[in-house]
Amino acid sequence: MRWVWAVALCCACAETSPHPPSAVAVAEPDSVCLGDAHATPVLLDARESAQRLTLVPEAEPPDLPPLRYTWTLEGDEHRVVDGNLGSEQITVTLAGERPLHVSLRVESSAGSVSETMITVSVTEPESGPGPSCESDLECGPCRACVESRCELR
Amino acid sequence: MRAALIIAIWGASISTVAHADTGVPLTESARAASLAGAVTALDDDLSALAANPGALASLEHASFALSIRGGLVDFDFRRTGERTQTLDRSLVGFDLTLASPLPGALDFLVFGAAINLPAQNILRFRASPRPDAPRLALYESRVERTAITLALGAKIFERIQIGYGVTLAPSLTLPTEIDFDAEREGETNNDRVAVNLDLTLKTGVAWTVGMRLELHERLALGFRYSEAIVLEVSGPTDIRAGGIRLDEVLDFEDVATPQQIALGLTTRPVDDLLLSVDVRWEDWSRYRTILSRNPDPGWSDAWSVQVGGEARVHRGLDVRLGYGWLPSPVPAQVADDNLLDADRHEVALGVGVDLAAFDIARVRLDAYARVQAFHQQRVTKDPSRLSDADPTTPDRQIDNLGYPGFTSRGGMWQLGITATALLGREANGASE
Repeated sequence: MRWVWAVALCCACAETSPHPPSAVAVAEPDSVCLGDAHATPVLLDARESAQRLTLVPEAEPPDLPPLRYTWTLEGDEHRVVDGNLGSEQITVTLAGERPLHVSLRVESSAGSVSETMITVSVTEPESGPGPSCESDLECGPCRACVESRCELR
Repeated sequence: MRAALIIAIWGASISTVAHADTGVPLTESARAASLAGAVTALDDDLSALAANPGALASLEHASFALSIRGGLVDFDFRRTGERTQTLDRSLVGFDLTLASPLPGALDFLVFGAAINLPAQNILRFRASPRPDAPRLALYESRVERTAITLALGAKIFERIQIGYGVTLAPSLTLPTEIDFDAEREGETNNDRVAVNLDLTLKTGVAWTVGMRLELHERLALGFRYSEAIVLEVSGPTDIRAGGIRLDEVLDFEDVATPQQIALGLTTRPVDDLLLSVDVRWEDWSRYRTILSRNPDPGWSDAWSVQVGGEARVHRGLDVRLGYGWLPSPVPAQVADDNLLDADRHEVALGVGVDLAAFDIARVRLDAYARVQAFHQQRVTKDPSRLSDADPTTPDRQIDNLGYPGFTSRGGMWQLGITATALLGREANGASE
């Protein structure tokens, strides 16, 4: 967190527009198993971005033009299965050989720009038994909950 | 002090591609740069303020110098199997240097002062939100800093000169409070924001000692020890916005210059020819990242060699050539960090004109061009040494920006000029 705020102090000062947009990117899931081979769709979602960067959430003015999005994907081999690199949401599948580094550029109607980056990690299975569980959601992308134990798929 | 801090903050608010000349020695003259820094035993040059305060005592004239330099560091970074990305940074800086023998019976003492100014900011820290972001080890994610160097050289015997210098550089402590009222007025969301910044600029002090020994009228040895220059930004922050509160402690530090020992030899085999060689040790093994943590893997100390030559080809006209072998202190980047660096070769060319030789003015103009060529860096990550991006999830999540490996290659080029004005009379009272 420390370094995030340091950048905020610098970047907030570096903006030439008084009202930069808020760029927020979310990946669901945020990791795929090593060797996924395009089996798992990953949704990249920019809907939490906003026209203005504020500390307290506020309702978007209804008459403003929508934000413009530009996704840049680097790293793992990927295929776009829904949406495109300019849409608010985009679904991709991954080879699962390395992380996918996702950059989101958001431009507001006032011409201000903000960028953010997230990473869809790749999960490397580790030997040995997994932890106890109640559902697959607790086991990560490489395991399933079998008889209350996370087992490799 | 507050005025200076306001300037620093104002400077930081300007979007710029001109960063400071981090990685360039303080008070380096164009003559010193064109000799690839092989100047520990060199006489009659203002770079002695930091290069060897003992050699400062060899100055016979009061002198004032202005140095300006600009350059570019350019690196290609490519993860295995992916496209090449280019990282580049500009290096721009200024030095003002003044030195003079003291008057009268104290003329065996020479006092010097210099200020090193980066392109825009008095002090600026910049840390990426991603600690594993690929970055240049020595020329990026470092501190832009102003530094003042003071030095005193003394000729204690006819052929022995000693000196002492100190470098003052700023560090910052900033208890910060931001109070944001969620109930707002009007149309903006920025009303009732109270920002309380209590900035305290501390001055870090690093000292240097040096000695120059004239074994013969044509042969001299030099020695220098320099303490490390470490800059800091630290302090608690307290940010409140409605029901949200963020309470953090900032703790950044930067080793602007490591502890160093340098040995040099200068010889004039004939009147119009000068040859110099330096060997330098730098204590990079104590390096800590800008986030004030030990790098993984840890850095190594570095031994470097610089050689230079200067020839007077015509009355008042010198040409210079320098070469440096600069091993990298950065180890193989198999863990979380993705620092771009490799062993490098430095070649420098320079020219100097003494306008006094042409009866124009008591001014020397020196210019140089310097190039550093880095070896290629090849890295294969060790997954067992990478941090787990999500320790709460079973197995190991890898999100490192350098995984599974990368190559890099880069270069640096720089141009600079120094104008040195000779002031007043010589130390022995003679005038020109």
